[in-house]
Amino acid sequence: MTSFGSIVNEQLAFDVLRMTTPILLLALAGMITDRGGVLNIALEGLALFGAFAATLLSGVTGSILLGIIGALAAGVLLSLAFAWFSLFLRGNIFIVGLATNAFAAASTAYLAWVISGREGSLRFTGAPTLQGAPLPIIERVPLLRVLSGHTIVDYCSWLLIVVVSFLVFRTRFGLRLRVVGENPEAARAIGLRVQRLQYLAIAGSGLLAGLAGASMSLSLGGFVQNMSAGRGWIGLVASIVGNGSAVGSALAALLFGTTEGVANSLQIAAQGLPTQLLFTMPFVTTLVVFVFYSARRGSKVAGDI
Amino acid sequence: MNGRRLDRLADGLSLLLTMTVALVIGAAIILLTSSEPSSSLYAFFLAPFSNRVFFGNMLQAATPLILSGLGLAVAFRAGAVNLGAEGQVYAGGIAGTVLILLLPWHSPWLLVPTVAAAVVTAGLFAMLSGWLRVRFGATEVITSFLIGTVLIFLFEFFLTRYLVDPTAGFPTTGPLPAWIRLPRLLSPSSLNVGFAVAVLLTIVVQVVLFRTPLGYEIRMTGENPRFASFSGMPVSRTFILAMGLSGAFAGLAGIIEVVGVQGRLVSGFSANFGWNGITVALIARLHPLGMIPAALLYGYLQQGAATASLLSDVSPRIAAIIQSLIFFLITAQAIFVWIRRQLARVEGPTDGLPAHGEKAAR
Repeated sequence: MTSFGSIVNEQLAFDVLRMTTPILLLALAGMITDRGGVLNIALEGLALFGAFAATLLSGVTGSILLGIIGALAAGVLLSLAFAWFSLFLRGNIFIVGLATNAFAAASTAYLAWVISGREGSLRFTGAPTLQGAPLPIIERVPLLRVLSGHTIVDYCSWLLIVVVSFLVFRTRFGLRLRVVGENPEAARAIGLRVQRLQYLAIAGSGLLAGLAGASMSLSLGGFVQNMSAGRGWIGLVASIVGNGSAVGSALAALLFGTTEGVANSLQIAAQGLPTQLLFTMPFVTTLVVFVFYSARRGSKVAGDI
Repeated sequence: MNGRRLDRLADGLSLLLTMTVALVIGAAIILLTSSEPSSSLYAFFLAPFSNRVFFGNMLQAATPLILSGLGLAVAFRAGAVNLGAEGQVYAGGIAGTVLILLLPWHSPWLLVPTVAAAVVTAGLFAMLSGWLRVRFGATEVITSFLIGTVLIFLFEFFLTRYLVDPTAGFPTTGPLPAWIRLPRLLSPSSLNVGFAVAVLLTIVVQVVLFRTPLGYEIRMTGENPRFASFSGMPVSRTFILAMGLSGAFAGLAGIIEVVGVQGRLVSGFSANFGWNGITVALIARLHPLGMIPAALLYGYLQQGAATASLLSDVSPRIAAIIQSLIFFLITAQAIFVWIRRQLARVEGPTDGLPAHGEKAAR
């Protein structure tokens, strides 16, 4: 059994960044909808749907790119169903979100069974997996080199922090979306098309969540039922704790990704530790951070109840 | 016809429409994916009524859902959302089992402390989320999910590390002693006294919710917390209590599954009791007595899928798909509003807006 000290190294930092990617993408997805005044409970299901589509398309076509495109499309499609049921059919958005998660879990598990004839997983022989690519100069700089050697989706996720931030704070769409989120009545009064903006925000979160799903299944080379494993919820909390800023959400995602990375390394390094207890680490951390954040912010709901 | 009756009629019709659409889609999926469609359809839709075992199992499948649905409905009524019921089912199951294994006496009376341990343990974990909301403003929607997930991992940990029967070949305890098992009703099906207990409890909750001060406080806390608080009701306490009750019912569902059906503590023994309880509560429109038909519908789907996989080539997962479609459709307030408008048009322009418009899908 190795000591704890030996796992705190560059490899751990590298793993942490890898683990953070899906949570980061989901946090950004949550942040966009949060800005539009929508608590996106459906993130978990959107990511799962994306993960499945990525495995299916990359497995059938042998192309990683088509897999990613499939994940994006699947994420958007399901997010539009989520939006349609809540905005057009006027379902309680929160309940519709839960229904979306239930549908994603049920349909992917069923399709995996229909296609592969096996319970619980879908894997194509010879399916491509996401490979790490070195960054030219950075790979030789000490310490900084943990940033190199990641997959294209990982790099994309870092770029997306800037993109989402720009979209929300520097474009006309972002400004309108924020008005809708702050005060839908006022937004309607000044002639903004509230529903259309919310549709767009939800579709955007579908894209990001789909990509998060792709990063999970394509790096593993297959789909496992419920492989999103609560990351949608952790990402949602990261977006709440990030207080509506992309950088804040990203930092919170990094914190949660770190616990997942540490739990993972401990599992490999220290064989004696029970895996189930290690698996609780990201959830316990998320819970503690969320409660601290809520307490400090002095939530307005607290006064009501 | 007055407004309220029109509401009820429209509500009933929209539920009927919802179920029909979901079942038709389910049938279509079976037709598309099965190589022997006609026998699959028979097995799914009719076989649950074809013999005693299937029928008993169908009633049994409804039992945990009646219980978890009851608890979640009480929480919803108080404005509390418990997304940790799945974990609380496991917490109840393991707390009760540990007590059975620890106590040295051999008597069916041990069921009392066993059930108490399950109910209290699960209830406390749910109350924790309620308390975090009241004390720190951390919404119970998120905390209950996170705590529930942790509970499932802890359940698996304690089961595999301390309770497991190494000869079984999969993570489970050995069989529990016969004197603790609940009597079967329609043997050899798995239906047991638990079903009767669940039915009885729907009546109790109905009475408490609509005929007692506590029930009034619970409903007021959900409908209008400000008003409740101004009228001197202990709003915070009621909120935490309602969360606790939802956890307690989830824990009861867990221990009844263990001592009534499985006869031992098995890894993953909850077939989504916690999550499906939410849909059952919503189908029942949060009415305690409505839990029985709503849960029976779910039990029917579950047993239909089970018989279809047994007698034909359909995956038992078909049930989960149809259930998720129902989940989607029951939220669609617009269907209700549309049907009500059509009804009102037939009746003549005597009524105003639907009286419980937003609330129906709450």
